[in-house]
Amino acid sequence: MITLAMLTWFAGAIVGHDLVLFPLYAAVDRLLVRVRAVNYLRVPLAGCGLTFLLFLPGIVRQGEPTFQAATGLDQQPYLARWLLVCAALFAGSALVYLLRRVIRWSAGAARRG
Amino acid sequence: VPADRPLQGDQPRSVLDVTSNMRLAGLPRSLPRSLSRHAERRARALWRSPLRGPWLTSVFGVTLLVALPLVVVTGLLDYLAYGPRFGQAFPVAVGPLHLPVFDWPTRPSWLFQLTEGLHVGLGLVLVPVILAKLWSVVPRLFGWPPVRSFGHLVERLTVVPLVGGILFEVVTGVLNIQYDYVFGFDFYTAHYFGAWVFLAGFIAHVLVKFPAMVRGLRSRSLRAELRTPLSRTRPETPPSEPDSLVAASPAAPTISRRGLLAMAGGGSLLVAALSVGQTVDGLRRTAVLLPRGRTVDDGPTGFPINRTASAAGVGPDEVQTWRLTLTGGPSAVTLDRAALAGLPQHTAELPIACVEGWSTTQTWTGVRLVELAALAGVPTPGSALVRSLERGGAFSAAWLTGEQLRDPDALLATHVNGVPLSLDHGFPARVVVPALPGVHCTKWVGSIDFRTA
Repeated sequence: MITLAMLTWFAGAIVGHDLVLFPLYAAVDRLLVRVRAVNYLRVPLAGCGLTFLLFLPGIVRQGEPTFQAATGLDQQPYLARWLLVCAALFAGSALVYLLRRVIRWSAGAARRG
Repeated sequence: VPADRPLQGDQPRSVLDVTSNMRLAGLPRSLPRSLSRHAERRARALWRSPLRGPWLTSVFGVTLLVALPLVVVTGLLDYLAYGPRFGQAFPVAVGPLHLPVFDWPTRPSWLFQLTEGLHVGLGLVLVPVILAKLWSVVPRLFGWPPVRSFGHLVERLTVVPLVGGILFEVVTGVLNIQYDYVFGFDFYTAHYFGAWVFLAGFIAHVLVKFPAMVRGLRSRSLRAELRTPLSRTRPETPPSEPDSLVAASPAAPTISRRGLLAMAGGGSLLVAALSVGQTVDGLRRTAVLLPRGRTVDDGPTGFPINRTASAAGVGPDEVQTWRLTLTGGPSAVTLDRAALAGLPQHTAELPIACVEGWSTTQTWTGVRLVELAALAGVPTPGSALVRSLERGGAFSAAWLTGEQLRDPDALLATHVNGVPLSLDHGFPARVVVPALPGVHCTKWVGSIDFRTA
């Protein structure tokens, strides 16, 4: 049976995206664009945000009793794993940034002779 | 170039042209004029991305137009796989929204693994595209006036089931695959009816917007876009119609159009990389953030469990005195473990696949179900009800069709990978049938009631 809670979550999903999530990430992005190499922050941050949204229950350990009953495992590792995923995204981005700087610098040096 | 400096160029003063729209809505002109000037100023200040435009929205739109029907169809197939004929597909009462019922086949044995894997996997992978699509059209949500004409009202109303439906399905689905029931309502009911609400909105939206999408896609060349770096990225040409997605006063770009497409696609790839391990045994550990990326141990029974014995209320006491009861024939037949082991044994490599989007393929050994049917005195069974020792729970009993019972690989398994089942995997005996949803592969089987029809 369709319940009031379902309708509330339906409306809540729209409000949550349009009036909470979108303004939030748009505001963060407005702050980010002040940085010169914005995309090297924007891309890993988007990855962190996306994985946080999708895998939130494990990361914040929500619904642990049903999780345990279903899997026989706990949710203990997920926060650390998510932080590692984020660290890997930022490290990868930093590496690409550095490599591009080095390539540009050496190309410039070669031109200068 | 600082981002907050408007890009100079061939932009018209305003593409919103709100005052003329107000007249369309039949409103008095004096009040709306100041309101609309305010709205126009606000829109100019708010919506400044130089990337938004009909072409970009159409690219995300056509991606979803191709992929989302696959998610919907595989989802509805999963409902059918549960066997609505026996009243065991949830929700049971669907009113006029029932599907054409057919008996779920047993071949190919990976059929359910494929449909549920696609449903959940593709659903997850599309989340970045859905978010990008919503980002690309978000100025529309705050457009002023909110309603310009009857046609515009209809178009706006179809967006409610479309956007609400997709977000609701994503949220409930994502929570369900992680066993988080924070919403407090029945997942199956919500996800099923939510799907129909979304489908209605989706079809209406496609009917209304398809021509605009085709125009949008034709307005620029994808190949040319993929060769355009940030330094040459310019806003799309605003079309003549009102409430264009192209910013009236665009800021300088901070990312190229191909960069944004790569970001959305990269998000999808990231999600794919983090989910594929749910289904592919060799890559299990790569699903680091999902429940099914882990195994209980490295042994032959370490593969993922769907419901623990303790959660099902089955302990060592219940299985110590275990007997299997077969009914449906002239008289009930009771077997203990030794008697079951004395029957012809058969081994099959079969997947266990769950609606939560994960699956695992293992090598099962046991007695063919058709053998047990013959023993019970029903040599050509038309259906059977398998009951578990577990107490309560929505899946403590399951109906199987005649085709499922007669499949040569349909087993009452006692062993997996050469060792006896662990208690969590259904010791002393569990059902394993090709292409059968995991929850119907009943564990801790206590009795099977065979029927001729």
